[in-house]
Amino acid sequence: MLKLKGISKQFNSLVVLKEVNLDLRKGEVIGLCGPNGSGKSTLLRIISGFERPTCGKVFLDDRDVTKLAVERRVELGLSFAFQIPRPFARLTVYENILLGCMLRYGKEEAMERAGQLLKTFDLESLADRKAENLSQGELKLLELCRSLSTEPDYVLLDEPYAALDKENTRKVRRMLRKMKGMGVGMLVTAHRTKILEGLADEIFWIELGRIGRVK
Amino acid sequence: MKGDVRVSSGYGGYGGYEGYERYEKRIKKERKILLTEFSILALLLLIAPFISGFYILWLVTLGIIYSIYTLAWNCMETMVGRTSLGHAIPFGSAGYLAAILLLYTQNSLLLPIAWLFAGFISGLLLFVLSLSRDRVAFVFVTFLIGAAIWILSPLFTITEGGSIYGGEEGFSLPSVEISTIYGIAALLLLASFLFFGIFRTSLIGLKFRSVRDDERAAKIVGVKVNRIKAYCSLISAIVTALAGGLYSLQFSHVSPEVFSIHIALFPFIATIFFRNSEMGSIAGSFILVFASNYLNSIFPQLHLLLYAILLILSPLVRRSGSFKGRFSIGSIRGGGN
Repeated sequence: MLKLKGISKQFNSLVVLKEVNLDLRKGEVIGLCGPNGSGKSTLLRIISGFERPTCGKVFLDDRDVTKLAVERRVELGLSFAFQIPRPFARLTVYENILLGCMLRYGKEEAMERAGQLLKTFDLESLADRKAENLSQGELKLLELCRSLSTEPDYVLLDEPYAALDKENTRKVRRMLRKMKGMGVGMLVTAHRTKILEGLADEIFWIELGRIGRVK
Repeated sequence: MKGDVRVSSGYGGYGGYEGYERYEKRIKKERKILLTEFSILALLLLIAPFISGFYILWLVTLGIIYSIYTLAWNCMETMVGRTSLGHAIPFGSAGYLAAILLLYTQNSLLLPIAWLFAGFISGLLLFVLSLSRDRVAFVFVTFLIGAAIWILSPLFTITEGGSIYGGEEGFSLPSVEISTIYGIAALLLLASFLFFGIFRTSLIGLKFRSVRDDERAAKIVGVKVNRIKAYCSLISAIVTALAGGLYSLQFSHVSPEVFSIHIALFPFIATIFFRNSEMGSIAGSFILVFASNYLNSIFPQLHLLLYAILLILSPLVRRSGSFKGRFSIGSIRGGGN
């Protein structure tokens, strides 16, 4: 279980998060909604290790990971998909995925797994294209696919639907359902609760750093 | 399963996809191109001493040494995305350290140890500077430290046996026959060529290139970014120091000029047009060495004008990607990456 205990974050005098508690189980999807600047992304950055909380702790399967580096948390089964995709621009789509697969597997198996992951998410046709040549929608799909390449138990998805047209929103939704079907625990942020309906098991609203259950 | 990483649970097979064979084929093709280039380079290096007079051989040796330097420098730029303008530090300090060691011990067998040590210390410095994610700051800080050492190095003197060594004049090194230096430099160039080429096309190299593209994203796929930076800084600085040591030996002398801006900028300028391949780095270095030599024969220091023009052009060429393609046998055949 991914567990947040009393997470608070303060930037100088600005309080961004106040005593946030949250539990995420494997296979469960939790939606986290709120307006701009409500602290959604900060919370995900704290869980993933890019940011340190002012106080509070992050537990991953009962292990305190609050002070661990990002890479170590990834090894322990946590993954993250950025709101604005951050692909390895000069590598191919296949290589982007392969890198994550190399964390847990040797050369041959990692190469096979990367190909299989692309097939599962219908990205085979993009495999040999450099990431810098992809459209915004394709980059988003790559970002999501890459977040699974390390075979995580929990994935943090920062606004996966942001800046997408209808067609790509549909593709992303389909992809997230597949991820859920694989038994991955997901914490998904969004502006509106409606977009997460049908996907999230629980939805929380975050505003002024405080979190409350919606559904 | 690797190391002490978590054992994955919910990920079974996804089906019998064999698409990775395409990737393997591409890597095999790149390696084939690399080996072809290596063979051509080896052949050229083998016949050069037989068809060149003393002066041309001396120039070719200089070109080889600069090529090793450029290859090592380029490793930092193309593998971890760090443009160093401070590589004159390992290049120059290798010669200096060797000369000082020789002054006290008179034992020339210690020269390679001095070069390696200078490379190691400079590598540590580059690594510490690369820890910040600010890549522009890295360019400026390496440049400033390099320039400071260049300015301060004439003040460095040693008194031994009643004589003063160092200062503007620098230190003397033993005179070694050009054919010997050529042989050592040629072997080092071939080894560097093969090492950097295989490294670039390997899965380990892929991890390095992920750091080049995006450090944060690299962390998210489990790449240990700081370890990668440490390895790259050390490899790059040590190979640069070996080149710098040979450079000082070729001139039988080392002076503050080895830290000059001209030395610091050389690999940057040599790789302006073709920086994505080992052959490109070598071609760029040779062209620059021979062009500089020709220009200097017309008017002293005229090569600086060439440097200035290329530096002015560099933002245009590097950003527009006009020459982004690999300069390699493969690209000439249309099979490059």
